[in-house]
Amino acid sequence: MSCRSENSSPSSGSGAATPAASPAAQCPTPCTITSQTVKSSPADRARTKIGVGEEVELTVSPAPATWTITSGSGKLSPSSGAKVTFTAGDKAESVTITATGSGCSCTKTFNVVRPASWTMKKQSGTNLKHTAGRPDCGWKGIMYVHPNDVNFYNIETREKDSKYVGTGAYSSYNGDYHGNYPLPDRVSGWFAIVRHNDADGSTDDVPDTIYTGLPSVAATGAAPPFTRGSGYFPITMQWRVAGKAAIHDFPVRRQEDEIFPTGRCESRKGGNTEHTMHTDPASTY
Amino acid sequence: MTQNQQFLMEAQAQVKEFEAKQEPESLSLAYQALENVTWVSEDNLEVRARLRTDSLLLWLEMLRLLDRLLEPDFDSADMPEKFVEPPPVPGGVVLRPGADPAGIKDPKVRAEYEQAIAANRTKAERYRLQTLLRRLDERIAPRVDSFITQAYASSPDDDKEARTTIDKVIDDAGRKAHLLELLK
Repeated sequence: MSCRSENSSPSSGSGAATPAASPAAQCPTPCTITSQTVKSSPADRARTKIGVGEEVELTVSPAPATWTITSGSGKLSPSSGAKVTFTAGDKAESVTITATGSGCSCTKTFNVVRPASWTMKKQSGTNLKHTAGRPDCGWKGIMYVHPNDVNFYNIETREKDSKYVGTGAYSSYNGDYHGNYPLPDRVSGWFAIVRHNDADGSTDDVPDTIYTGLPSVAATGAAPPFTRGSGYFPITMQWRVAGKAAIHDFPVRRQEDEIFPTGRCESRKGGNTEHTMHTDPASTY
Repeated sequence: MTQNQQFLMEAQAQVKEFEAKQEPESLSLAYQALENVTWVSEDNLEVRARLRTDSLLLWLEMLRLLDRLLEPDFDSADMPEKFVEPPPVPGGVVLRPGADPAGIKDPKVRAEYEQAIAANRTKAERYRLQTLLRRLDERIAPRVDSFITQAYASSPDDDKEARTTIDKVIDDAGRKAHLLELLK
């Protein structure tokens, strides 16, 4: 029977040292596993909560050992030695990794999480777009993927096209595609996550232009009270672990536009709202 | 077939797949499979020597492919956009980014907009590829260094085999100089 240790703690946890008739004879020095995430953000690189596709370097002491995934999925590379890399798969699951060597075995368990949601923030250093005297508004946004306490650098996202649903001044947009992405899939290209910070999450840093469009004067009116209008695209963003076949949908979120009779224009996406008044001076991004 | 040979074949197949489709994930799977080849565990000296040589060739082939595709002038700060700004149209309306080019009546303006959309899509694909290839280079290069120093830096005969192979496979002068330096 071998000694076991759990999450680098050979004397605690469910996999703690197993009593044996003479354990010292077969497991002279209980092993421990230490782990370090490949990415340095979030700052806690010893964390055991990781994102899908994240890589973690595992080191066993004493070395060497043979490594196996004893519960859950993912990849170990190589499968033997003092130091190996674990790459999480694309499932939300608990993954236990066991190192076995010199009559001892020890384990480390990771909690793998999927991206759950996305939000938008206005891109810093950019302005609103507006046409003087008219009820339109637009902004540049950057998308962030959550949760923030893991790094999703090894995923990529894209948009599945959607059709506009509008009323009032925006009725003429009904049925318009958001991206007019090419057939047969009607999806955008993939954008890889390139940056993470604790406050905002993981992002591709690619600017998205969110603009209400400006319907004709006949549709909106020329002055207050403007014809009210509201509408939205039901946006479906998708994600996958980079290069993998399995594609997953985020929950649908609306990109919304609204014209108020006062001449206020609102543009909303991913939890961020920007607005202008028709009296604001002309501006662009 | 030994497990080592299976890993080697899997790595070779993934490298071929990468050459054909240029999908970085294939190269990632290739290096992970090759990393599992433990040539020192083979008892048969002939098999062991062959495995080591084949492994060296494949590690170097991965670097050669990376060198061929990595663009030295790639600027990671030069981002693509999600959408292209549509051109102005008559009638006091302003189109949304993503608007259908078919709605633009002027054929010249429409064609320019279509070209801008296509160019942005190409730029986004290039950006993705270069980003993922750079990450792979960061992973694979140190593994090749480690393989060469552990497998080839101990005897003159080993040294000669490694030098000849590096010289034959690697085209990039900087990469070649670095790898040869490991054998000194």
